[in-house]
Amino acid sequence: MSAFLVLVRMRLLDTLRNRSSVGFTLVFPVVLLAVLGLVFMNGHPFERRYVAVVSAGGESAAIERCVAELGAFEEVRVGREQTEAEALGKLRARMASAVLSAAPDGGSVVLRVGTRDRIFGGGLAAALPVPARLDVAQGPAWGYVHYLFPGILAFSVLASGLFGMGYPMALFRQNFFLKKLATTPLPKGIFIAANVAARSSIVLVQVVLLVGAARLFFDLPLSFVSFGWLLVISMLGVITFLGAGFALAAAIDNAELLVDVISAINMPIVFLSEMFFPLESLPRVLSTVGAWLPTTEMVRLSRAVLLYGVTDVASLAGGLGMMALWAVATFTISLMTFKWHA
Amino acid sequence: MTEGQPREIVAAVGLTKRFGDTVALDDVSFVVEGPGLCAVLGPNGAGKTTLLDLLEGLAEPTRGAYRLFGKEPRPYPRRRVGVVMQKEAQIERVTAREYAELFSAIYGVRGGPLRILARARLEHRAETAVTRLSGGEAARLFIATAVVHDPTLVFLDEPTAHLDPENKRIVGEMLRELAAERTLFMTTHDLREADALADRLLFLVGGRVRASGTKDELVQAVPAAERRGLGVEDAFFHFCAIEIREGQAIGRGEAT
Repeated sequence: MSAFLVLVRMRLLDTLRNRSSVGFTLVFPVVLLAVLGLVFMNGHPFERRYVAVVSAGGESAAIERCVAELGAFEEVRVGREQTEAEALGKLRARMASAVLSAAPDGGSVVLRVGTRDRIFGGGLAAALPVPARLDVAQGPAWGYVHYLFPGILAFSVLASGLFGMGYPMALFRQNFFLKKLATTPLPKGIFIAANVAARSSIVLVQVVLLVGAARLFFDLPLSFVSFGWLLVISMLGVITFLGAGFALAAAIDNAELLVDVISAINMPIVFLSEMFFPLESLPRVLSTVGAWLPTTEMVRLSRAVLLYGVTDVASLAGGLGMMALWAVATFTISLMTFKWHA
Repeated sequence: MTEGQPREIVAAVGLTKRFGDTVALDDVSFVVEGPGLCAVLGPNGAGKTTLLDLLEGLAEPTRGAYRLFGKEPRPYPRRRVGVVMQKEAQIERVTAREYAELFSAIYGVRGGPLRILARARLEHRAETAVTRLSGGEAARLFIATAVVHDPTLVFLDEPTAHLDPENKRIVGEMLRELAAERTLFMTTHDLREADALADRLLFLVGGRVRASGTKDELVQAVPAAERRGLGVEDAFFHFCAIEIREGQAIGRGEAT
């Protein structure tokens, strides 16, 4: 067996033989999904009712009059969505309370709400300055959990990448395993590739378990195509975060300190990555920073695939490209900074 | 030069290593011929581990150079060198067999794991975690692993430190056997062990070489008045001219 395969097996066994590692990597994300799903089963608790305006397909005078009118109401926040699918996805996920779109006649609008917002929809329709047709649609029972799911997925992949690579590397340096390997002809690239392969395999299992649990218990909308995309997005994410874990372990020798640093990094990333609430809820500076994070891109891509039914390469290419750039960047840094010993 | 004749294996020329203001090695020069076992003797802080780090290609000297097998080690001849470190990797959740498999795979040695376990006399402990092996078992595993690729030169940093007498004896036998065919460059505190195993000696104190040569040469060079019939121990105290006071090595002239 080649050194690459022996190392991959060694790292896999190391994880599987460690009960706390198995628990943290494979079981914890599913428990987190279940807990958050049950806590937030009734929808997003943090902000005003959101009216999603479909602005694709050109300007509509009726829509613009409605937007201007709604701006006067403090109870609602009005935002524009690029596609109808995205707006309806948010309605199903209970991130939006209503979807406003132009009617085919051009002079009126269509207002769509979920069954839980029937009265709200009636009031809203009455307040609009143009005739509005109210459509009440039955949404899925676990809509907000569907919105949360990509965030939990990204959080799990982020933690698995940073902790799962950073901590063992710092430990290997601390207990002289890396120094020992430095005395052998093992190429640095093989060592890094084997660790990435082993950890990616674990994360792949983690993603499959998480998706399976979400599908089974929370009726997550899923097709073979969206599942495939989810795996691609997760792999790009894990490669990015494994690279970051490697780079951090190269900079910080002490395993305990590294855990503290990763925890400190994790916290703001969770809040800035649209995992649990949209970036628009944050101050402009923070939302601008958040928009550049790979976790935000991972969350947005996963939502587009799962909730908005986007599966064509052209629509996903921009986000995938940005994630790929992050992956290349973190791995370039990790290869440049990786050292066998202090 | 014909097969079996001594030849230059390790040579240092003015090797110096500084860490800030601290001089760990100061103008160290020597030549070690092989095969055989060269023991590097010196008190704590003498620079033994630093010397090994340089010769193993893990650190760069501040000044000076060294040769391996009569040549500049560029690129470093990793496949001809084996290393047993002072603090060997204690990886959790890895068995002795898996440890042997890893290093066999790195060197591309077929049948390496069986050979390592047999040489270390650990066939019955193959599935035991490396961290659960006794000190003697672990030392044998690390030494057997370091020679799985049949290197010409093996660096060993205090491989018998902290072992009980029985395990020292077993590991000593292993080292003697290995030294018959290759060069072992071993640091140790144990003067008796050096007496029993070494063909050549290198005395290092305060980062400087006090003496180097064959064991016979150095022992013979001790003046009759200083001989106590202790062989290497007599030579060490003669050349190193140190007294051990309160755990610290002090040069004779510096003692107050």
